[in-house]
Amino acid sequence: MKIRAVIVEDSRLARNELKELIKNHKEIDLIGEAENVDKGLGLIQKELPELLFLDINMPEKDGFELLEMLDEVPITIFTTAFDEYAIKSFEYNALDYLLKPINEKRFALAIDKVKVQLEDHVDDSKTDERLSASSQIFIKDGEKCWLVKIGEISHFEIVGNHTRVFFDAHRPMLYKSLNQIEEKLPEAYFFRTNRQQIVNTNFIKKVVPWFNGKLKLTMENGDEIEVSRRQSYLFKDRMSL
Amino acid sequence: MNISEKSRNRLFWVLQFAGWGFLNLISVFFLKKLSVAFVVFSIITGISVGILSTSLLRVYLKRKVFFENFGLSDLFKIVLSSLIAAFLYGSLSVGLGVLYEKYGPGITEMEKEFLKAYDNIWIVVFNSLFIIFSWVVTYLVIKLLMKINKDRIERLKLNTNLKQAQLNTLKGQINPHFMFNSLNNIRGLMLEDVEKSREMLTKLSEMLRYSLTKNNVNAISVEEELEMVDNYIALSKIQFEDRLEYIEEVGKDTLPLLIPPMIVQLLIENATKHGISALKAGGRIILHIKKSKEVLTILVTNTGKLQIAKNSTQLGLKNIRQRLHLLYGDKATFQLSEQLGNVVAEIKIPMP
Repeated sequence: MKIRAVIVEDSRLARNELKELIKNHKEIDLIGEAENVDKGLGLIQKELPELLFLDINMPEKDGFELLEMLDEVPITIFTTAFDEYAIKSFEYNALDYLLKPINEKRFALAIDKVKVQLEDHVDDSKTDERLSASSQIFIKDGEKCWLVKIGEISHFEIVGNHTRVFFDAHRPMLYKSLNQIEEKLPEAYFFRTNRQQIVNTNFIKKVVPWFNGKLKLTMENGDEIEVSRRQSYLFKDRMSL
Repeated sequence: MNISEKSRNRLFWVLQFAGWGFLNLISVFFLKKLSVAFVVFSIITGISVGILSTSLLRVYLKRKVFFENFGLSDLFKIVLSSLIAAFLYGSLSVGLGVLYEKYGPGITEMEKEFLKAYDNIWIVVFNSLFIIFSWVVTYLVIKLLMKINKDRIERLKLNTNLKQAQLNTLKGQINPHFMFNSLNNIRGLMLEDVEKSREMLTKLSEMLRYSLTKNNVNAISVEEELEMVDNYIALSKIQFEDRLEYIEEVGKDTLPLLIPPMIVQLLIENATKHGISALKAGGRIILHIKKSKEVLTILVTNTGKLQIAKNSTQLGLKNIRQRLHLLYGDKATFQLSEQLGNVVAEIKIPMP
């Protein structure tokens, strides 16, 4: 199995250094490198790599901003010289990071972890332009960051022009519209219940009939969501209720 | 306790009224058999004359006499102004006494006796001098005590600030981000240019040594500081490569001059961090050091915009300001400005 990887890092020597480490791992196929976030964004959107080595401090935009711009985030290993602050801002799904100069053993361990993650990936067949259950999205709300797998999200809710994402006990704001998000979600188990919300059907605990032919859903976390009348027909149809 | 100008004024007037009031009340009650009119008149005039003459004296002393560099001329000023105030006090007292005698209600024997004292010029002179000089002494003693207290507080403050500044320097000396990036870059450089890598390792060691040994020193020659700066630039260049252009224009006559350590270095570091590293295309840093008659000017110009980064603590800039203030008071200046797409940091240090 080959892991298709890219490097986004502004220092040429640091990129060389990283390439030297990658040489020892034949399974990694380095398909490109970029020296800043804008070039990195183009590269990732074109090549859709599975693994991203990402520096945090870069000119104009930092590594986090790159992740925010991506619809789908590859498995990411941060490479940083000294950014305790930045690394600590991760709340969920502690991603891997390597401190520069990089210890070869630590590097090998990180790659092993990537392999395990990728093996989990294989079984979900990715069809069209849509995300899959194991696709990750990056959310930065204020000082905190999350990397969340689509399959782990319970539901989405409109807040103004943005969207609140509910997963685990977290509910950060994602700076995208609900419609934008809907286009990317796998249709198999994400369902638009009404104008305000989209739910992950895997997280529904209870469905009860509500008045006017509507339905009321209770989610795993206890949140209650009303399904509009029009959508209730679709819902029943889909769930073969 | 640091008393503000306003409360100091209030204190002055309270003491002024209390003092003169008390003095006049007791001096009048010592004498008996005086008419009510006489007592009231002498208390009111006594208080007014006293307050008027000494308040005028205070206005003068406040403007012209300073304890900061007290000299013979100040003593002379105090004596002379006090004499004038005493003259004013004496003549007003006598004048008002005469007026009372002429136009006031009937005068008793006792009062006549009392006023007679004013006929003897020497008694008046002695009396005025004694009262005014006592006032001056009291005034100066209170002022001096306040100043001593204020000085003590300032000294304590200065001490804490100094310690804080030293701590900040220590903290700010080698930025860990810079150090680890440099080490990583050197590691990468070894793959392509061993000779240069060796040179860079030496430079990094020199920087570490400098920061470990020079943090207790208060002054260092420009030449020595520049060695540190050059090391920093050389190491930054392997990070930024052609994104960093550096120009140094340093007057030869400035090299032996003494400056506080790490000041130029911090300016350059700031220019790199907020100027070059934030720009995709990189930019240029120009260091200018020149000496005019009594002022050493350090000018660091970098491409970029003057903006305070959202997570910047501005520790570096605070550190520079504080140390300059501690070492030179108001005689050194530090300014940061934006000029035509460049950020300009300018430090002026007085030279002995």
